[in-house]
Amino acid sequence: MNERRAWAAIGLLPVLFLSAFFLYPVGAVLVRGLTADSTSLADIVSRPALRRVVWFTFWQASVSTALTLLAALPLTAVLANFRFRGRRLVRALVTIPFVLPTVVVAAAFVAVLDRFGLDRGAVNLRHTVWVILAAHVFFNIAVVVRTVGGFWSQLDDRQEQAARSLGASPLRAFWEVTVPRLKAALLASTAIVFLFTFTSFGLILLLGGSRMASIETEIFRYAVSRTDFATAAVLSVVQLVAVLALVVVSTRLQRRTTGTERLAVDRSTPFTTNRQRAAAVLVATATLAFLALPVASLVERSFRHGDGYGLGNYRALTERVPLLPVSALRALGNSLAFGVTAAAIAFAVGGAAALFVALGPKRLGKALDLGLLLPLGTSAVTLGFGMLIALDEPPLDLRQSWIIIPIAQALIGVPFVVRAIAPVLQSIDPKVREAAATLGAAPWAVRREIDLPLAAKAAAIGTGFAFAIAIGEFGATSFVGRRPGHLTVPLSIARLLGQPGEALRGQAMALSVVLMLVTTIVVFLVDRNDQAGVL
Amino acid sequence: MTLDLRDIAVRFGATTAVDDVSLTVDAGEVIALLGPSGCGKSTLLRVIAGLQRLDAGSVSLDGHDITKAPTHTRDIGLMFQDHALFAHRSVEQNVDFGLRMRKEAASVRRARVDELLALVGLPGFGPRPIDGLSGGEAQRVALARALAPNPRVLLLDEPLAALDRSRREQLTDELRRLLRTLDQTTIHVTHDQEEAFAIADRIVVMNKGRVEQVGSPIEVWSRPQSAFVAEFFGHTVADVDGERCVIRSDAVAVDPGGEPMRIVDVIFRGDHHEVRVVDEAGREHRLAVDEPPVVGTEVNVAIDPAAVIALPG
Repeated sequence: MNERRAWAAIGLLPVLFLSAFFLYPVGAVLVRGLTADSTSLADIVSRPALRRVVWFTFWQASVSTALTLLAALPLTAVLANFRFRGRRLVRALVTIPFVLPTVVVAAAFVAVLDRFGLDRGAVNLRHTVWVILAAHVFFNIAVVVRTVGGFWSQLDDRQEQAARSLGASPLRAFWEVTVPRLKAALLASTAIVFLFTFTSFGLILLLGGSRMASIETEIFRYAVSRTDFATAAVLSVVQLVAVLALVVVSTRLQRRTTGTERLAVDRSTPFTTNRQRAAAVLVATATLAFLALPVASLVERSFRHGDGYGLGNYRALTERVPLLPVSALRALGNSLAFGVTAAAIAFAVGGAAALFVALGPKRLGKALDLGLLLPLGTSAVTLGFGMLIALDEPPLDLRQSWIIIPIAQALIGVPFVVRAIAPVLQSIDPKVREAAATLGAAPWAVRREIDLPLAAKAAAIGTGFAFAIAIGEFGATSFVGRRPGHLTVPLSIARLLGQPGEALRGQAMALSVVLMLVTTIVVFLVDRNDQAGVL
Repeated sequence: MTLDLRDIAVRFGATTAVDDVSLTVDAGEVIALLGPSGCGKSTLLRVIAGLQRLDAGSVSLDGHDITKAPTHTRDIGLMFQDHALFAHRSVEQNVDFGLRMRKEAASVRRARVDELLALVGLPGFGPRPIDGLSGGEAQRVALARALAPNPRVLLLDEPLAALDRSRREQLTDELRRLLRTLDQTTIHVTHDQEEAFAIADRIVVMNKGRVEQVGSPIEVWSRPQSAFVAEFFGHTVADVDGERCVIRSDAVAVDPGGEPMRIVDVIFRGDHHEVRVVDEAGREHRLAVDEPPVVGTEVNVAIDPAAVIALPG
């Protein structure tokens, strides 16, 4: 009975947190959307403008996904099959774009257009779908390289060798043996990239300007700019249904293709021919150049001041510009404070959830595990919108309080904390705990001596990721962080980017570089210790 | 230090893993639980350690009923096949763990850790990390860890099964000497008869959750009481003059005065050749010879009546 009560207490924290700050707000959006009174649901859905929005969201996501696969697969193949000096470095570099906050990626692509004069003159790409597609590819290449490449590099290559010994040419063996075995991983990464680009908010809002409208950006515009909550809620419902359908279809497809593969340690071999080496060098260089260009342009533009180079943009960050209610430095202070708070919340909630999922009652643990996946599948915009309309009256009247910002950010970080800790706890061989018990360790001593040291590292990793996510979070924060004194760095960058004028843009670049540095340093420190492969 | 098991039963759903087992282990005795995989020997071991709930029966140690006592209070050492070492701790921290749990003084602990590492042949290994150890070294550390707190009973769950043959033989030898020197009450679970013969004072042969036979190694091997035990040791079970009998594997030998039997197979076994012959009744027998005969020819074979044992019932 005592143990039962302890598990109830542990499970209560994540359940209450999820209920109050996820189920309740998202439920409120659903109720609003399905019972829109002034304009009926069918009315809103039949508007041609909204139909265009839904159509645009679909096709840009499809094209972005196809282009991402095209751009990522050559490098994926090289990294999976060949061992060479710098392989780990290439893999690490490819990951960097994925951990960058969306506002930084947006700023980087604005910087590219600015640097090469593509936002004026004959070829004007400003506010076009092309720059959005490019940014989506830039952001998501890492997803394919990590998921497909991770699987591919561990795929036992003896099946290919068997095919070759039976008379298949290398190409034939690749097509008939390798590709079918990669199908599940390919499908998985396609689904993830599609989901990311389908729910992409910051990049489309900041790079597309007022000309580009996806479901996400329209939810934001209707809810925040026009305060037309009914239309925003209907759009959110459309979004939720589409995402749900996507998840269902992709899991179905994956279940059908997933086989039982024995994974080897590493299938890669050194280059055997000079042609291989040349092709690999070409692929790696081209991919890295594509990824480095926006980052380099961002850094270059951040130092561009007047007609020369200097630290002017950085110095200006300490001053208050008329456009922002507080100085960028204050915003940085806010972001760090919110980030620390969000990480602490994510640690407490995610840690308790991980304990419950890994070691608590089996059936309830499984239910909680599934419940924790929901925030991952829900877009930050829907979440932010839900909090905006639901948490505005007692007992949960948090709209004026700063705490709503870290809570929203923590909600996005919690699944990462759980994914870091729970597998570590689950992977501990029960016999190790039994051995400790036979040596005289009481149940609580087993937890302290065996589980805690192993989980502590994982908890640090998950909490670090939660912090990195929080300081770069844009989607949900743009709904709940509307009070002038609560301005964060991503919101500042978004505002500065949206304005004409070279000086403000320069500051946006400088602030983006600062945010990029903070994020990459945090992720680097965390990733170095990440054996579980949370990222 | 007597361990007393009374009418132990463990069921997993519809299957009965341990079926009404009773056994008494005396102080300093080394017992081998021998049987094929799935016979319930490891489950019985887990019952003794307090890691397995039992459906019936009782466990007592020196007259005290410990059936309901939690594992950590039982003072029973356990060593697993895959050693279950604490991977995040060094060799000495592993060995020290049980002493620390018993709140021994630091000086006592240090001395005991060094003593144990020397005893298992790993002096100076203390500061090493676990993941750098070989399979044999890891097993020695696991043994040292289990022995360090001076357990009342030591349980060994197939401790050597994961090792290659030569390493296993060497460690079996060392283990045997160690247990004798320490006068350690031990229950050793194994499916390998040679290991059981080498280590145990008494062997408990198990099958399908039940005890088939208990006795000294010589007794269980030479006087099997059931067809299962006989066949487990490689003897032949056959009807001789209308009676179920065990024809022990040492009963058959080349004898010029014996019956001629046809040779169906010859297998090189290193120090001898194993010859398979078939008698008139179609029964196959094995015998050992030095010079390999030709398959298909006949050889005169005699069966020693002293090595043919009638099965009870």
